[in-house]
Amino acid sequence: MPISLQYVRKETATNLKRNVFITIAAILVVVVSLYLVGAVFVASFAVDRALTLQTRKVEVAVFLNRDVTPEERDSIQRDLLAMPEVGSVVYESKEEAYESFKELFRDEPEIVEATTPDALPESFRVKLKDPNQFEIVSDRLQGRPGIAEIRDERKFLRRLLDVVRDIRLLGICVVILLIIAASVLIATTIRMAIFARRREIAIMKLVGATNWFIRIPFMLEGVIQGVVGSVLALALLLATRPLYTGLADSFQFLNLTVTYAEIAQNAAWILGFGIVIGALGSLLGLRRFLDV
Amino acid sequence: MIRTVNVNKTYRGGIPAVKNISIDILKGEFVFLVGPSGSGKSTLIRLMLREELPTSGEIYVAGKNINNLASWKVPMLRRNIGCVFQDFKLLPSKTVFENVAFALEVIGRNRDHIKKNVPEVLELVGLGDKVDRLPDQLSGGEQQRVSIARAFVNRPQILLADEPTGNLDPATSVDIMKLLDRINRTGTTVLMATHDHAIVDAMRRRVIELENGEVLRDQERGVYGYAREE
Repeated sequence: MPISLQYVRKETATNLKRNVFITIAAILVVVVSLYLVGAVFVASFAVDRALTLQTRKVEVAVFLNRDVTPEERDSIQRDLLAMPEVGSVVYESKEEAYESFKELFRDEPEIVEATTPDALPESFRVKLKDPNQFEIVSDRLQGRPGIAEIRDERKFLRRLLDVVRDIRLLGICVVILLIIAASVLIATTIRMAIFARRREIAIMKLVGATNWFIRIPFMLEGVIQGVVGSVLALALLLATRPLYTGLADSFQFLNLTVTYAEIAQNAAWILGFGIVIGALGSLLGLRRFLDV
Repeated sequence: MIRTVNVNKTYRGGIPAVKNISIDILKGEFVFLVGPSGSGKSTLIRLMLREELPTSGEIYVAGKNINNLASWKVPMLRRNIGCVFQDFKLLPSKTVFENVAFALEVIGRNRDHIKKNVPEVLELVGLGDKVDRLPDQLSGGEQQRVSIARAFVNRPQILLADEPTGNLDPATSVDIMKLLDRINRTGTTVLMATHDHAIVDAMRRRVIELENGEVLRDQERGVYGYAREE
């Protein structure tokens, strides 16, 4: 019966091809979602690092009056050191202020030229144990003789932190949706595979194959799709690094650049997500099939 | 070997498929289950395989109550019961040998066991020279022999056959019956659902007749009974 043999072969080939396309689709969705998961991870990592560095740098500046007396200065320093909220106090003289001023404006020599150390105020650079207690410290010093201005240099940073938090929340929502989509697609490929092999499965049940024996190949299929997807996502993440480091470099002052090694540190997470997506999809696909 | 006590099964929708069935099939018996389509033969077989649970009543297979069998033990029950169907249920892409070997592979038998047992059982069913054919290349009778070989390769205590001759011509059917009879003589309990009058009348074995889900007749060395339109 050559005709029916040919028919069988053709049917098998079509089945396989149909499954291959859906498998590719599932893997692609895993790649896209895990690429975004990775991007959110890497971005969070970079922003966290930058903000920690920045927070450590930023402090409260207490500028002194031009005509401050040495006694006033000493008493302010003593009181600052006595406050429980204060971590450390560094005195910056006019000369030191001039040095950092020169550094800050090194590209504009005429400004540096026009300025003398005497024009710059002395100050105390105060680090707080908890940066949020600025108000308490500031209130206590307000109105004391010798103080020109108290400035919280963290204010700007706090606004930035809020924005970053909102963006991260949005990112996580998108990522959760994508993970669900990827799982459902993997579930569909598993359903297709089960459907294509329903005769085999019926016979396996009939002759007494255990449920796990029947399930494991399908679960494996889902997990493999997840793992392949996550490896591709990681490769893509590494390959496109120049693109997003270019973007990060435009925020130079925050130093958001990440190295390849730092991306690789997130590999375990991405791989883990891939396995979870694959297993979740398989379980979803096998759910109706669990009863004997 | 198989005992049912007041078994009822009502499918969703409310029409009872089998009603108050109490039968006792002994070890080594050959029993025909006869009756028109829809009389409950297939449901009874499904219940014995625990593909369905009865609405009420008890079913014992090999001395065990299978109603309260844990679901993970169901595969072990089925390894004790060989099954043959009207439509053979062979895998078209596998050869005769592979189809029979498949039944052993999926219950975790090793290669040596398969290499020894599959040719043996294929010899028994008379297909020793066709092990490498595909099902498409075989006649209906030969395909049914493959499916019997697959059901018997694990040497089950019970063989359930649901209309095994339903798709075969009378001469081929006689050959299949001879084969089932031979299997029965090895001590295997055989329960065969059929509505083939000629076969039942020729074999003169125990006949259990069902009608509308109830046992109408349970007779040693019986015949099919009244002629019916199927």
